[in-house]
Amino acid sequence: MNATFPDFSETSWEVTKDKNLMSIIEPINRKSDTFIHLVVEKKNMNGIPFIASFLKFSPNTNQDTLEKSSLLFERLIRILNVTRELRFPEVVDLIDAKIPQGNVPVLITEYMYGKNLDSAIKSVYFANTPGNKLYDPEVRKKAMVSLRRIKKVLLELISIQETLYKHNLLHIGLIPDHVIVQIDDIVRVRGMRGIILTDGKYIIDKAILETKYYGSLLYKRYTPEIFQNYYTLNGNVKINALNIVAYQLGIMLFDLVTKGNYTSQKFNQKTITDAEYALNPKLKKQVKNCILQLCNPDTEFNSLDQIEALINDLEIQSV
Amino acid sequence: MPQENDALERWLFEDLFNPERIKSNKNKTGVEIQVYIQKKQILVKRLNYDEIVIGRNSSTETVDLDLGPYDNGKTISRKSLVITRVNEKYEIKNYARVPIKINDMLMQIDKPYELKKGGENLVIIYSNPPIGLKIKIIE
Repeated sequence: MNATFPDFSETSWEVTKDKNLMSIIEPINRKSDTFIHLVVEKKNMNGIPFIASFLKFSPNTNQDTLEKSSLLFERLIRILNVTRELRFPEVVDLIDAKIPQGNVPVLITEYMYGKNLDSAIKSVYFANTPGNKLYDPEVRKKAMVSLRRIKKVLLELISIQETLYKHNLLHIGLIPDHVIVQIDDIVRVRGMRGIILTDGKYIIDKAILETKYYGSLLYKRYTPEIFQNYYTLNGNVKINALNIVAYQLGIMLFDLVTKGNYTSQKFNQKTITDAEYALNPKLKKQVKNCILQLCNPDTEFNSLDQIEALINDLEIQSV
Repeated sequence: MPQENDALERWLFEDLFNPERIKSNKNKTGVEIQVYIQKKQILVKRLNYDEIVIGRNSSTETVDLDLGPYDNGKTISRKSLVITRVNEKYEIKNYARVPIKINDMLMQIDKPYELKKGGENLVIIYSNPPIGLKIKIIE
């Protein structure tokens, strides 16, 4: 048994031996503070990958904490059952696997093929290159990006939020790592822990405050500072979840159109204004304005339509 | 405008890790039913209802434990067995067309049989193929 991995020997699952598949999951594990993800296969059905997720544990993690992670999984499964959104991963199984101090609940979900948006940003996946140069990394590095494709991805993400919003829910963990872009830019979403309850605008989710069991929903650079108050004031503060959604889309748009060249810099108005955009000069101004509006802490978003309208405006001016 | 949603229970967002809620959930009694065909366990279901209907789903009615998929001969009644919680006890009644035994005793139609606690109650439905149920009361 690996010190940080559970023992699957008594289950019908095993960790894949395919190193390529595992390498895809490694960057996600490096960034994740709450869960570890492994690519697993059914023992009698090799070659078909699934994702196994379990609470990050150490020898000091007690059994109570581990057991409570199954409640977190129960919440995710119940949300997925109600929302019936096909762009979320399909739940396959919930099992217990052995670790030195007892059992750890493991959620098995479908393996979503495609490109993680984080690596899509870094590899300039949305480059506007001629077909014959599509796979030349050097050409891609220097190319402009396709605003039309980027806009389609962002609108898809809003459409996913709309599905959740019908149930007073919103996903406030839509960071590039949690977005998978599939063939024809079909968008799928992971990181279901980021789905929270709102009253239609403000966060009213007390369960997320139990960070010992739920983990934190503060994503470095992708979460506006104001959300920190929800934790420090124990939920006794009005935090507009729509503003968080808008902010995350704004920063995602910024990273996509700047090819991720500013991810190590502080994200603020100056960075947005001074950055080099990999866009046709005619489009730069309106994209910049759109990002500034989405990320403006003084703007009070009251609906997803308001956010969608800002993204949609990009098309009107770019045609 | 968002719609109020009843299907997502509030405790998922308000009370998820509350030890008192978890404890009271654990204290809830219920029934575990294991389904066997040719001595092979094919299904385990835990139910926590006051009335549990075992039988076959139809186009108009849904039962709590659907044995239809395992009943090749279509001999299982839509309502074959009903388990009812009466105070702290559980009773089971037979409404099926095929013979049913409980703990080696032939069940009469519409007569309540008390399910014993602290062990398994063995029920055999003589359908085609015969289906075995191990019913355990969870306390």
